[in-house]
Amino acid sequence: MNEATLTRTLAGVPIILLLLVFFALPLSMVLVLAFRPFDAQAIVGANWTLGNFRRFLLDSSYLLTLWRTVWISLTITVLTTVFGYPIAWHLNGLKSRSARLWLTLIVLLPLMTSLVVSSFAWVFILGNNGVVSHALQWLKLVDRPTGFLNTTTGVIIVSTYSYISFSILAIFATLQTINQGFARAAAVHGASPFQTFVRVILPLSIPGIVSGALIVFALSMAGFVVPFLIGGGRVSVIPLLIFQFTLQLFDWPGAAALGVILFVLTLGLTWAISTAAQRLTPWER
Amino acid sequence: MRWLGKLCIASIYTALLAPVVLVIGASLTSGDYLQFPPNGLSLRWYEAMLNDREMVGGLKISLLVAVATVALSVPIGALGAIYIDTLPRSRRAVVASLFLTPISVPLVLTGFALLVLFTKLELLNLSGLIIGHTVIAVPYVLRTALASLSLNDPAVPRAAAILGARPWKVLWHVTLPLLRPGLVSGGLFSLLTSFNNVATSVFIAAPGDNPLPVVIFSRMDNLGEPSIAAASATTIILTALTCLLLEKRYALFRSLGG
Repeated sequence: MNEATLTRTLAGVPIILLLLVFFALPLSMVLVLAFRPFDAQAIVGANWTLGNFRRFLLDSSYLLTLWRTVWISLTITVLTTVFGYPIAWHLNGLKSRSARLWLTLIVLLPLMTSLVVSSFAWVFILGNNGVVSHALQWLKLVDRPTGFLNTTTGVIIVSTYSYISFSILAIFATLQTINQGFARAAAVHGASPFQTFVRVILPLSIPGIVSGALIVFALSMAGFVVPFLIGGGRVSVIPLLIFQFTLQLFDWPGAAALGVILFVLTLGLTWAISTAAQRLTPWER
Repeated sequence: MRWLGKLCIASIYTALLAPVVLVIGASLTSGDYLQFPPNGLSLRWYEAMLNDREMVGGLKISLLVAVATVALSVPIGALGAIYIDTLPRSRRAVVASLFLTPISVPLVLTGFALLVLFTKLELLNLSGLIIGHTVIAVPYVLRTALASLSLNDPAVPRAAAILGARPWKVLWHVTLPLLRPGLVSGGLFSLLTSFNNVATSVFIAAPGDNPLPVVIFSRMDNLGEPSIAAASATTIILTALTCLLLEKRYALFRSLGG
């Protein structure tokens, strides 16, 4: 091995060590834990068991939580795409550099704000005495203070806010790569602006929509901070259960099994979404 | 039709901006509890925050951990990208996706796994917190570094070598400067994710040494307290200032869209 190759191979040592010791090792420990029984004294029992998985996968209330986690995440993913697309579109069409800078900063705000900080802000907005409640009363849409705290709707609203930047950035990046000539060609051939958008631009932006959606979906499936703070513990999802099992019930084997279930479920659904997307965009292959 | 579209876009931007404006606005109240618009302007809740030991300590820990995370994750990620670049083309994608797996593992699972390991190793302290944040940040640095490497001409370092530069000189004087844009945006991302992280810290922070987001997290049930708004506003202002300064220096957002 010559000196150049040696220097460059040594470069791999730190990251490999870091990921082996502080990522692969702890995850394998969790995998082992998932097959240990819970012990009230020692937290982790000595023998092997499938009991943790049986407990979660054969119980209808846990299965309901699993289902709730999935549909809440899917809803958040759809909403970030629906609200994110027009913003990405608008940013892409901007000519002025300073307008683009300031609007990009606004778009990045949710990403740059800690989840606890944005949740705090939204508690203030969505609470019984919050801005939204006052606005709804002023508009005479409701006749008494109406808050969205401790509700699934609240969790979905705040998560959509927190994750929308990822969706906007991914769609924006794809929009930038679309050849303007395609739109012009469609127009020359007599397509209306609406037709051009639906038949040409939208299909071409699917890769960006999908990559944004995959990030948002994975984040929503793993998020417990918003369900904890906005849902007030009343909107139960798997990551929140993991948090509660670990730090409140000290049932680590249970938390480990839930973690394994969540991971497998997320991987499977992510794979399904990206396979479906590939079907939608045959020209990408 | 036209103005309807414009109205929609304007209202989405407003929704993105509103929470931040509300928090900063409410933190300036001179009243005894949170309200917006604030009941008279004052900095009294910032003063209250500065007299709150837990919050000041949390801010210090957050800043320290964020800076340490950048100092660790940027070199490790950069070296990792250089390593991947040396591999035969056929193996590159596999190794890169292996190094990037922490991104696709649910954060709550990573946090819990680190808690399990750190309990065994007795690392539930500041060092453990820094290590945990580094594990999460490194893949992002690696990804942006790989992106800037792939934009470069591989002939440039080779030319330096042919002209007689020793390998580590090529690395220092040629490859690293080429990596710089990727490292700056990756580093900024590490800084911000670490500074704002709550999902991992909640699991592995030592009870007495909570970073600021965890302090806010643990006090959320006491919602009327305007010093939480002041602390929240402080994190937003620090984050936004960092971004603007780096944007001035490195034109960050122009590179963001790719």
